[in-house]
Amino acid sequence: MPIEVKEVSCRYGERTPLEVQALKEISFRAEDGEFVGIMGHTGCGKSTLIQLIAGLLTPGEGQILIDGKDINGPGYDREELRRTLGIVFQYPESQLFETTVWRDVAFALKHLDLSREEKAERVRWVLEAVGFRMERAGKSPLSLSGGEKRRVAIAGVLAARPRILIFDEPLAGLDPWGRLEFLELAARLHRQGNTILMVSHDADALCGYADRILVLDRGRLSAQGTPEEIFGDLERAETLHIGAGEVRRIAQALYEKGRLQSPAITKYKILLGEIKKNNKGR
Amino acid sequence: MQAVTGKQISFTYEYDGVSNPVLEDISIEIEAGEFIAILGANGCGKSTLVRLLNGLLPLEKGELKVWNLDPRQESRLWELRRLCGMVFQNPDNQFVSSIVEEDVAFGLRNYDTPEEEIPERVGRALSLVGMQEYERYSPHMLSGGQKQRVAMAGVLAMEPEILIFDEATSMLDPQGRREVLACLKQLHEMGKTILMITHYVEEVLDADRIFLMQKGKLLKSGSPREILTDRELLTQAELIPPLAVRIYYDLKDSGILLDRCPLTNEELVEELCRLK
Repeated sequence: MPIEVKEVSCRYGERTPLEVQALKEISFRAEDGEFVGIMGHTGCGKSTLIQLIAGLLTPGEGQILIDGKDINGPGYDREELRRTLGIVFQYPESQLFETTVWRDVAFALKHLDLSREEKAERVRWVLEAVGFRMERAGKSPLSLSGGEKRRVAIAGVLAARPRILIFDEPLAGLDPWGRLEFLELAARLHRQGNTILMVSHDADALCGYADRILVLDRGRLSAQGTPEEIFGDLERAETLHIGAGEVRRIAQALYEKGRLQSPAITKYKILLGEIKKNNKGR
Repeated sequence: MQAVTGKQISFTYEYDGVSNPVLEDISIEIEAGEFIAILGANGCGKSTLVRLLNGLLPLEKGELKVWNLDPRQESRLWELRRLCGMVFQNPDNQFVSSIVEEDVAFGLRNYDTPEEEIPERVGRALSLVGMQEYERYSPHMLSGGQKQRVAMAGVLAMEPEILIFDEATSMLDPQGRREVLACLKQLHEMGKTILMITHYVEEVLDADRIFLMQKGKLLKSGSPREILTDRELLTQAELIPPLAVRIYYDLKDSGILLDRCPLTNEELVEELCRLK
């Protein structure tokens, strides 16, 4: 069942001089198993939107339906939402607190109806899934490097196996391999049927992995579509206050020099394939 | 003049009785006015290295001279920190006041700067980063790039010679990154010595030199072109080459050879257009 956001508006500091309209009349659907990227300028409302979907904020107006149920409706079981949806905040490593990596990850399983063995199995599975070396699971999470901390923090959210996963700027501060490894992990989760919402400024990353991109601009949903639709017209992308990725910009330059048939390429593999095709036998 | 001279520096973190060596036998020399970018995978010791420079971490093994100071000399630690300022990753964690001008003045007041000098120095620092019109704002009302420029102003008010940026752009959107980088470039042109840690290869193209680190060691120091077009070297450092370099090698692997390895996207397009 999809995530449905219907006519949602949200204000901060209501009825004070500091009142800010963070979101205005946002509507969209994310289908089951879809990978949706969310882009937009700092302060455009991205984080507000995902906090609303995660039920951490209540919209001033409008509805958010998950699996057909209004998560702010009377009688809605919030525990169901917590089981269904996992959210990884910006810099999630600041939430690590336990004495060992193992215990930090296992904390997420505390209230699940699992046997000791099942819990241990789950921790092993999830640490492996995020690429954390098991022999280091007895270390304090606070003694790890930044990249390792990030993995452990993400593992803590994945451990409970939520079906919907929300990531807020998961790539910030990771090195290039760390970024690639995270994206491959997200792609794997996506293939396994999870719904993924990911906020990022990295156009190349979202274009390479997301099915669809939503663009927010000053609290409004200003565009949505496939990466090719969003970045097909660079001038339009500019008016949406989002920068195209490097792949798209190289494609544009090659197109203008008559070296590509179409400039609307946003994925590395496709760009490389086109360049090879056009230069075969040279 | 040498801004930084480090000889055989090693550093080990102790945590719960377990020691974790992060720097091994690093020797570096940085000229005054140089712009140095430090690249390396997460956990390679970049942040540890720069924290030794202004005494945020105590130097254990090796020799280090920053400007004319030895970070071991505790009586001159404040002088060292004034000379060698640092901007961190998260702008929100760096604010101590709810008004921009007071925030920028915080360091000056800590150093007992005469009150009558403060407004001028704050004003000068804010105009260096293009934020002079925001002195009465609350930092929390600013965009990411603006916040980070205010954090820079707080450091610049101290009139440092060396500026360290520890992933200062990683939380910003593309617009904010451009703003901070433009400031950084301007400071370099003014003759400040700059050390920048980043994971974005496109940010280091203007650096005079790159220090490439791997697992606590200085793997190589060289020009951006030398370092970034060397696929094997970058693979060894567990890094991914810039896009233009990746395309060059992927084409080469499938039998399409460009005249030279491009460093920037513009060079890549130029090289591809040269193919007959």
